[in-house]
Amino acid sequence: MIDHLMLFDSEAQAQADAVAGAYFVDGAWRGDVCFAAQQVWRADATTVDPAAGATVTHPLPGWYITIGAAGVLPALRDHPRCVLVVDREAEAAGGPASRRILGGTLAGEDLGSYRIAPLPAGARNPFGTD
Amino acid sequence: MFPFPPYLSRPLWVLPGASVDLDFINGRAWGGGMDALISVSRASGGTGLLPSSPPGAAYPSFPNNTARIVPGAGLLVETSRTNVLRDSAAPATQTTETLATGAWTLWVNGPGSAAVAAGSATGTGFGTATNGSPVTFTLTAAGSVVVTVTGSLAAFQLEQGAAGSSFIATGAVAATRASDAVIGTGALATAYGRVAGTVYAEYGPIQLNAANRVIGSNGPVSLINVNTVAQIIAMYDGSVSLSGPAAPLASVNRAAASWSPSGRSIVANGGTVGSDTRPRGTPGTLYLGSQSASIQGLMGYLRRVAFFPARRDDAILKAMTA
Repeated sequence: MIDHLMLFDSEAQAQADAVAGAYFVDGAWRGDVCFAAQQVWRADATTVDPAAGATVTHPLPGWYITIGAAGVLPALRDHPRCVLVVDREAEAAGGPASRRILGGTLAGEDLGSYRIAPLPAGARNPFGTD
Repeated sequence: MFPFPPYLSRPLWVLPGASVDLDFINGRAWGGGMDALISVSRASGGTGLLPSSPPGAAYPSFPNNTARIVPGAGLLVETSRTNVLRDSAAPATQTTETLATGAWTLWVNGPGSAAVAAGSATGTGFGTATNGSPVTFTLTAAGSVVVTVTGSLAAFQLEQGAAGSSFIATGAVAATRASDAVIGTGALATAYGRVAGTVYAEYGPIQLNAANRVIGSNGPVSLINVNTVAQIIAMYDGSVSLSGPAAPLASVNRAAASWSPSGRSIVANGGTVGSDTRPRGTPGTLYLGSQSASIQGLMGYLRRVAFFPARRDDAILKAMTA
């Protein structure tokens, strides 16, 4: 399974997008392949709530959606809003980033400092785990 | 050599006259192999552990894009849900991230309990869930809740909705099970596309829901809809809904619908047949257990589906479902 993580300014912008918007059907994001409204944050930028003692994450701005597919979809991979393309099985198996990360504007960054939630069930966080 | 009479090659378990018969309970198909008759899209794993499962029950796990067929139960079809609890297969007390307003359900599996209380959220209906007794509460202001675990639970799940769905294993963060989009292909799609025909479906248990599709399509046309809240079974041609009898939901339900250019009929559980003189509408892609890839999922088991290549009499429909 190949996950294509897309970042838009808003959900409305995603719906209006010629490529991503095709996955918005019958008034909803296609539930079989889309993981909409995900949150992405930096693990090295969390804080602690002094009252509750709990870790507080600070989601990065924007509206994220992952679109899963059996193979790489060039229209999504090459889209300027695509921030990451991940081979889910390769991610689960570990190994070099060149096999796990297949594209996206974030591919060259320190991915280990990012987190994403919720994940597709059965997937590992492509940005690392706590 | 004389051709082998088709009826002699038909297994005894196949419903008489059916051109396609999918017996999900026993994992067998007639009219083609199971893989040739249905195609499943679900971009996540899934499981067969339900809120009603016995404590510590062994449960199957299904990879991406596979039919969740559980022997003795049927084909599990659900829409997407997210388990917001971390490490859900090793339950421990925790405070959630911010949850949206609306109905939420907490359910557990195993000996012990999980109590849910307001953190920064505001709501009503908080309580303690035990195996087989979920708690559904309503958040009126978004925020966190605190889930306190007692005993040795094997699994727990907190999801948005008025009832729980199948178990979603999580790790350090929440996880989402994608919708099951079960599309009829091959001989099944052909049978659905006939200008006249009959469909029989057996389903249950399913969740209470205002719009569960048993046999739907990605157009507005559907053959068997169940409104388990209003207890109505219906058929929709894209503009006019044909209601069958009041259909009190049982753990196992049987429904049948027939259509031809001159009319359509629908019945459930041997009740009074509803019929009119409208055609069934232009069929779209056939979905088993949903309206489309996203909405109006059955939220339960489809046990059997059979299509017949002619419109059957109302009396036969009634007898089939009794």
